[in-house]
Amino acid sequence: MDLGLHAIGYGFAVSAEPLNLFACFAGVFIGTLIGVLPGIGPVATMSMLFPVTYAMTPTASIIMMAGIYYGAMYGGSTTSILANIPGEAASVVTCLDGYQMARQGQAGPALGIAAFGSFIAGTASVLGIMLLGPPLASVALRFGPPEIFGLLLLGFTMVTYLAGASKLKAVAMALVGLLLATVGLDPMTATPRFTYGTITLMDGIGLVPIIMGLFGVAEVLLNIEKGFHQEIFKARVQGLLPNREQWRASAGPIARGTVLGFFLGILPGIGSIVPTFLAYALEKRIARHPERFGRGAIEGVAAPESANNAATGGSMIPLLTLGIPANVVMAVLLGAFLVHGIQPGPLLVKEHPEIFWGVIASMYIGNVMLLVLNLPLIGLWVQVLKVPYGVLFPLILVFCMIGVYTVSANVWDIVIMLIFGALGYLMKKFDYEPMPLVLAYVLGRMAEETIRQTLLVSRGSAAIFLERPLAAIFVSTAVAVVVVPLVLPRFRSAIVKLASLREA
Amino acid sequence: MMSRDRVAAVTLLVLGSGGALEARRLTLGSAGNPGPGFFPFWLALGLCAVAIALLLVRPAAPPPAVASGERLGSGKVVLALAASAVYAFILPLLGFVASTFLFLLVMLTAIELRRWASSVVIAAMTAAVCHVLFKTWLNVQLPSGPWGF
Repeated sequence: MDLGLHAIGYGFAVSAEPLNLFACFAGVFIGTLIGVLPGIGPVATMSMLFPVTYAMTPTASIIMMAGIYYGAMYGGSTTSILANIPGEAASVVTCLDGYQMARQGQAGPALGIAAFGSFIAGTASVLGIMLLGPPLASVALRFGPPEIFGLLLLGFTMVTYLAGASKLKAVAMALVGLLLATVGLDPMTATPRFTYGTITLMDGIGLVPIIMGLFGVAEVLLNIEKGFHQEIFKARVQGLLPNREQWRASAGPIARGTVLGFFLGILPGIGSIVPTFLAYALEKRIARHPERFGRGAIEGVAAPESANNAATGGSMIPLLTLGIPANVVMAVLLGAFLVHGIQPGPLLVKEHPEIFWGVIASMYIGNVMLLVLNLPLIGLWVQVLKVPYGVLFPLILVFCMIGVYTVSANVWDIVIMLIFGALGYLMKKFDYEPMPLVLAYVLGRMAEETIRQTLLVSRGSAAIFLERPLAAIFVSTAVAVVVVPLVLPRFRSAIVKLASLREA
Repeated sequence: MMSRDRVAAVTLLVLGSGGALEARRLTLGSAGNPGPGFFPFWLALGLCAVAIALLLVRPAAPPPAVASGERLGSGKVVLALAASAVYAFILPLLGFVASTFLFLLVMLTAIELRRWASSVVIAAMTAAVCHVLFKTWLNVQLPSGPWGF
């Protein structure tokens, strides 16, 4: 523990450097802004800002990227409460009771408890990362290719199992993602694969064009088609501090939401949406008067808002300690690491302590900033909502294209992004989830390298996965994720429920 | 007329078989010594299998009438994509400011159906602000046109 305190002290020293402090502020500010704006999420924003981070130190860029993510979680809650528009998918549940509270003249306390709940959850999850991160990293140091492949297999299985209603479609998307990852030079023999003599494809298809196409451009296209209308609830926001009674009602939900969110966030493929639904459902189930939910119960705001911020923290753990992103946002963050030539994973704590501890400490500082930033500036965020989408969407497209172009100065990368944009639009129409594709793409190269190394070592025998205990645990858990629901119908219905929550 | 699910499954099947055929041109190797084509080949075959399963399996419940599935490819979507593609290619030729101005102008007049005068003003202002933001403040390298910006 002594070491832990020392380390986090070091982290605070790093994150208090002016540049890092500024990066943190810029991150949470931009994050809140895009959290407020519907139609643009943290994934697209983070990828758009890739080129900006070139000029920054790796620590500052990761701090800023992380700030955008948890800042967006905050911003999303503001619009959910005031306008019944979830600025962020993770804030959908907050609309249920938050908007009702606003309509009853309780907008202030609703916003207040969302901010405080997020702050408490964010802080607690930072503590969680501090305690769990380093020991996990030291275990992961002993992983060889079979263990890593087993872990990746488990990750793929969870992602496809939790992504939407159709497992087959999710598996298909994961396979497409893995295939896309094989484009470019073969990692072991440097043979060009599927490049057809083009230089653009030599390095593989870029992560940035894929992500910005699937999540940025596709979203804009869908909104263009839908025609975007927004109405803003003209509530006067006053008295942001919840009263004592409201605090007492919220304490339990915040605590439970935090724990639930944090541990669910660690699991691959869960993201920050499912924990909010579960936290809300949990509170409703144990409440003495469940009928109050949906009519402006403050617990219904406190629990999901805490859960999504805690999940944000939890999802940092697999990336920082294993180098495996648990969700798409973390995949983008991984991209930001790689852009600076740093491979996150078990060695990160040892090789780049300034990043590991600096980012963790910055999340703490960022949470304080958000609290200070969010409460007095709510009026400003509401104004932002009035920016007409018609002017906004061409701008988002321009930002996406410029973002992609500046990464490589290659026009064809813009074309690739537009192709993936059209693909993402069609996938939405055909009910295919982009999530398994992107994760499979990101992890594909690592999966291929590790399985090929494993097969070389074992001379083609799959038994090696059973001979090494840790690998056996990962692989058998992955098998269990597939088999158990088939055998136990009760389990299956629970998963179907989970998957449908995600779609809603 | 094929259902949307079938169109998607057939597309995946084509993609999978194409991938498998292309991967066979690379060295496959064996399980004990996998070559560059090994992983893509088996992945592509897996994709074919899943696509065939998607074709055979009837959905357990009729698909819910989701709003997202209403209609496909309205003209605006195609126009936005086409304008973006044109933008990509005029960007290195005309530079950031001019291409962004033209792009915004097209988007605002054709998709937003704003009047010309207001579109011109909004497009010009936005392009200028973006230029200052990216080039001057954030120091991002943007392509310049023949007139220096």
